[in-house]
Amino acid sequence: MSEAAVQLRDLRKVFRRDSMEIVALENIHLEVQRGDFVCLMGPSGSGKSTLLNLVAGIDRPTSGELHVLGEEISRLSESQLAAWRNRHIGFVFQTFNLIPVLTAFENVELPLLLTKLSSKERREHVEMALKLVGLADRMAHYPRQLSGGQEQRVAIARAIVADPTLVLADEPTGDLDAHSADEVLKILQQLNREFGKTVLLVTHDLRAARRATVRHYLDKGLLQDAPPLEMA
Amino acid sequence: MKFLTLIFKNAFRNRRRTLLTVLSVAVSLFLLTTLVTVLTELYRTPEGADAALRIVIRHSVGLAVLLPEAHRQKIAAMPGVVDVMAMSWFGGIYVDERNFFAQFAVDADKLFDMFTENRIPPEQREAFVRERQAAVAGRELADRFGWKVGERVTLKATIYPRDVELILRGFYTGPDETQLFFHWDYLKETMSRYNSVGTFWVKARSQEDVDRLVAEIDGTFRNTNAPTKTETEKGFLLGFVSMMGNVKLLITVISSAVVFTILLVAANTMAMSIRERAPEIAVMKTLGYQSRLLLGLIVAESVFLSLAGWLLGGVGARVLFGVVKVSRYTGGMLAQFEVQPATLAGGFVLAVALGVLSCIFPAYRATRVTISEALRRVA
Ligand SMILES: Nc1ncnc2c1ncn2[C@@H]1O[C@H](COP(=O)(O)OP(=O)(O)O)[C@@H](O)[C@H]1O
Ligand SMILES: [Mg+2]
Repeated sequence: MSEAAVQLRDLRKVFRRDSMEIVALENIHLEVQRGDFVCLMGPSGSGKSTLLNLVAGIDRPTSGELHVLGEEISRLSESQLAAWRNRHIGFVFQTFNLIPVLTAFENVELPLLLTKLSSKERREHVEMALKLVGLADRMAHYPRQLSGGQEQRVAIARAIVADPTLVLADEPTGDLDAHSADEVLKILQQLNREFGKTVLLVTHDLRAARRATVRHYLDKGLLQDAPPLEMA
Repeated sequence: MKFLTLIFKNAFRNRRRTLLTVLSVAVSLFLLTTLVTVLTELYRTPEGADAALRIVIRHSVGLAVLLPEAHRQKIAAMPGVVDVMAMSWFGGIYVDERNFFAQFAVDADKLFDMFTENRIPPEQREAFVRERQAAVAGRELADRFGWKVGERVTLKATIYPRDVELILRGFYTGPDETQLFFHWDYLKETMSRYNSVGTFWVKARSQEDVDRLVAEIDGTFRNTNAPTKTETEKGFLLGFVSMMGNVKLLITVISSAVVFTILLVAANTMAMSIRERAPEIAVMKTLGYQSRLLLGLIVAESVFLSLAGWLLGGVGARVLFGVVKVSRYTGGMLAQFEVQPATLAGGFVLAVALGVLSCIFPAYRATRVTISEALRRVA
């Protein structure tokens, strides 16, 4: 398929707070090819999360075209969108966002509970995903029993367990020490290289940016030419 | 069903809070079940075809005024009357005033034909009928005082001028085992001048006879010097309850207050618990969970908790009152104290409603919030 994974045309997002209007994104044109490892950089408040949320179908644009994986997702209903996310999107948050009352295994299993898979098939998928992130021996652990890096790896396992086409990560290393951050980035790179996942990564981290195949830079809601890494 | 683990683990996310909530629902439902049981027991009338055929006749002025013994023959002669039995309240004291229980002087040979729901071994019944001073008591009453067959029981008179000396000849079992019966003939003999009767009990041949007799008996005695008031047994017994004032209203008011209070307690807990997990709800939505599924999971959790309260408080009350004989401490006012299946079912429905109502509004709101909104609030 030659079609781009993500295709944004003249995308605009305005937040309304009381009577105030905040233009979070404006005049966004962007294409992400299948198999790309895209890094999105920019100062705080520049609209990176907003853009990622739009691509993930978590939020809706004010205007513009939002083609993701061949679908104009701004036209889907809430419940269609939920089903679409479950099938196509793996999302990794900065704050891990594991469910504290569930074990690592149960957290990773969550997306699969929405599928028709049998309990045995679910178990196989979960074990495979946790093995991939190197946590096969931590399945019965609760989030509070894991380190930050381990928690984020469980979160990645949860994001990929349903085999999504697109992996979106919003500053996944923001809360991690350098060593853990490196492990997380390695996994994302491996997902891109070995499993052909299209990865869209929002980060401040230059080492993260170096692993990407494509880099974009956002400033005040506008896409800029990315400055060379050495200068950023 | 694959969501059960999730529901269960969410329910126990804060163990102490969950425990306190379940306990307060349990205590409230226990209280409610008890109150409703008091009410149903107060209004309980003997069941069965036999009871529906019974008629009670008393003096039109009230129970304190007695009827002449002579009424018995006249009533017995009426068509449709199968049997007539005299029954007088004795109201004596056994050893101590606190030992209150119901005592009746009756036509001994008629007693067990009139109240067929009371069962007694034939030889004990014979011994009771044969001997003037004999008495029979309910099993529960006998257990209360540790009575044995052959034991002598003296009842100190309060209404009548002389005490009665009785010999226990048997113990019956039945729906109301808190009463004692002895011979009306013996009472009459002891109290030489008192050949009067508190009430006459009639067993009619058929339901049609009951309706006819109720009017006919009063008509017969209207212009005598002892006019009567005739009622079905059920009407007669419910008359006693209404003498206590509006118990039903009182209990209904208290029960409503109890229900309202648990609703507030449960709603508060659920609101807290839901607010806490707003970000988790957003995460689950990101993973593809639909709002209505998430709403269903929260409702299921809330219903699970209130049903746990029902199991502890409602079913617990039934088990407890099955073991502890509460009727013993009501001085014969409540012959039985048994939580009815209908009361349990009512508690179940209430618990489910409580579970749904206590969480539905905050849950609905929490599951409708857009994901990015909910996630921003944490970050
Ligand atoms: N839900 C929202 N409501 C109001 N304003 C928002 C909302 N989300 C983001 N914004 C605003 O939009 C701008 C971009 O935010 P964001 O995309 O989170 O930036 P970044 O991720 O690059 O730090 C900011 O000014 C932020 O305050
Ligand atoms: Mg951000």
